[in-house]
Amino acid sequence: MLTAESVTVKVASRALLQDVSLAVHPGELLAILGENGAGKSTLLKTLTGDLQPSAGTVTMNGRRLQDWTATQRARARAVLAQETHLAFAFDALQIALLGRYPHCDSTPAKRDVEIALAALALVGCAHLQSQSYPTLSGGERARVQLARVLAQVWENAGDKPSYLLLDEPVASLDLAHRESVLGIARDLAHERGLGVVAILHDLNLAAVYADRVALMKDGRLRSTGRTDDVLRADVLSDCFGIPIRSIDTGAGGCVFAVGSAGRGRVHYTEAGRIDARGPITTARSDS
Amino acid sequence: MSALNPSVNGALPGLHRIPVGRLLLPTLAIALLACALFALCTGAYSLGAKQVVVLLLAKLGLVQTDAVSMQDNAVLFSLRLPRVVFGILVGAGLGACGAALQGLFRNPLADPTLIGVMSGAGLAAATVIVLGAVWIHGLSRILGPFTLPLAAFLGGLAATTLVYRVATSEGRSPVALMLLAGIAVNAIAEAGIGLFTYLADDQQLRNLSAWRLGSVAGPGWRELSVVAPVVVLSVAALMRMAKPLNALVLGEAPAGHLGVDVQSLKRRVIVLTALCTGAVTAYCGMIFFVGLMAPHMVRLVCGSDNRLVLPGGALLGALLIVVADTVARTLVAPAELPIGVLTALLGAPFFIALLLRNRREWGM
Repeated sequence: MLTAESVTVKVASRALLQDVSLAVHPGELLAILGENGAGKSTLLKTLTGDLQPSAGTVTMNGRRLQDWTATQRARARAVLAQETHLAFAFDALQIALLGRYPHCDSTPAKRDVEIALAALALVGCAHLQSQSYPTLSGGERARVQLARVLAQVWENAGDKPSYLLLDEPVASLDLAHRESVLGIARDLAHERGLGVVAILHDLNLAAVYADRVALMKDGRLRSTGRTDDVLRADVLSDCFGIPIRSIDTGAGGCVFAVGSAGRGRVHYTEAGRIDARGPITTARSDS
Repeated sequence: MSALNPSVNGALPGLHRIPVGRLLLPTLAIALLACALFALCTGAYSLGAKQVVVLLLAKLGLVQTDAVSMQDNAVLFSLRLPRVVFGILVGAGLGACGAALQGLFRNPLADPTLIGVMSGAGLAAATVIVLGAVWIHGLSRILGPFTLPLAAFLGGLAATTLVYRVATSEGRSPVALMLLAGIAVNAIAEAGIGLFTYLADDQQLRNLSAWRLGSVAGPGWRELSVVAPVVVLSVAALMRMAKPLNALVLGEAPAGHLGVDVQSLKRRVIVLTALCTGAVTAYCGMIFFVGLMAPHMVRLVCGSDNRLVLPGGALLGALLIVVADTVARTLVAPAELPIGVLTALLGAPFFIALLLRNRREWGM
């Protein structure tokens, strides 16, 4: 389990996270949702060990994070950042192979190359393996980076579970690739027992793919629990500060739409709050 | 889901690069040996290749020969060999430092001369040349032949640290910021060197100006016995940074997530490049652009993998210096062109070409 216990993060006496307790279980996909500035990225950085909490502890597989060496940590968990700028032209396979960095000597073994290739194939980028990274499109780059972190946690280190932490993994992807990336993440969790955490902005993607959801607001954990229990229109409206409705698809699922029923406009009130007057985003149905 | 099985069908692709990569280092090594041999034979007093090989082997005690001409021996072992050996050390050191700095700054335009390491080392060396006898006499008596390289190392370290601090935040060094920081450091060093030029007496002035133009003719075996271990050890240590520098291409945080101790990597690269650049600069003076050109030429041929760029850059750097030095001393024989002038003449157009290639990145 990857656990944050009563974690508080203060930067220049401003609390970015306040008393957050969260557990990521092996075998589940946990989605973190919330407004901009709610503390999602800070929480993720605390879970990776990039940020030291001012109070509280983070443990991975029962051991405090600061007691792990950098290599031990890298063998047990992979992190996908939002955007990666590359200084030199590596090709896609070389990038995916970097995921094997904590596992191999300076020359990757045949097994490492196989895993990197399999990871590229899994994200649908096998054909790009010898293409130079800077020549790839934004979506292709995002998927190659995903292949890299998949290669990193392809095999569990020992018999202990591994973790995958994704910071907005679908931000630069088109609709079809959003589905496939989150599908891969969920399958890895369910089939390989990986603990996956993903920061998401799309409520409907979270509703479909997440096993559990953590909802954040103002540096605090608003609510956490099974997806169906947390993702309710009233809770979401309150958390995001705009009216959010759930619409029954008639096929046993529901989709979330921003705005109240009837009118289809959004305008800004004088106070600067968004006053929504109807559905402005329609969302995919649960199939 | 079957796609999760790590099975690979067909041959391992991506191997197309490996033949080039595998051939690169042996090719460069053979070319370097050939050029070194050519350099040993060439000059006002010409030696035959066979004669040079026999003399070298005889010196190592591998063959017996009684037909040794004293003059051949003197030319080879007192003039040409130290010069070629020093050229190889200088080129390998600058090439490896250039490759490592480019990896560290995550910036293809980093180079020991452009970012001021060399002029920082140079200012310290000039201080020792001019003030050495007066101000730090006691110190140089204790340190002996290590004074000059040690001072150059400290100067280089200070310059690299300053530029890195100024130009890097959150693991990124924008090109413009890095070059501007380099300009500032170069200007400070230039002002200092100018001041020492003003203060210097005739002999010191000659030393200084020869030093500023760059030359690999200076050191004899005594100086080489100091420089060689420093350069060999720091280049060897830099070679071991190839793997973490590869990970650093992703950025500091992602490299950290892969298990790289980024802070320690930075410290080691900065200290090693300062040590290596300092040691060679102390005796060869300002040799421009080799640290920039050599790694780039390797990248053009076989990609950006630092496991090839670091050793390839070192070998190609050595090759460039040996060739440039041979040209410099034969082109206008019996006079000599300063090698620093020659590498700058070659390197500056190369640098401009690189800038043009990078224009697109800056939206031009």
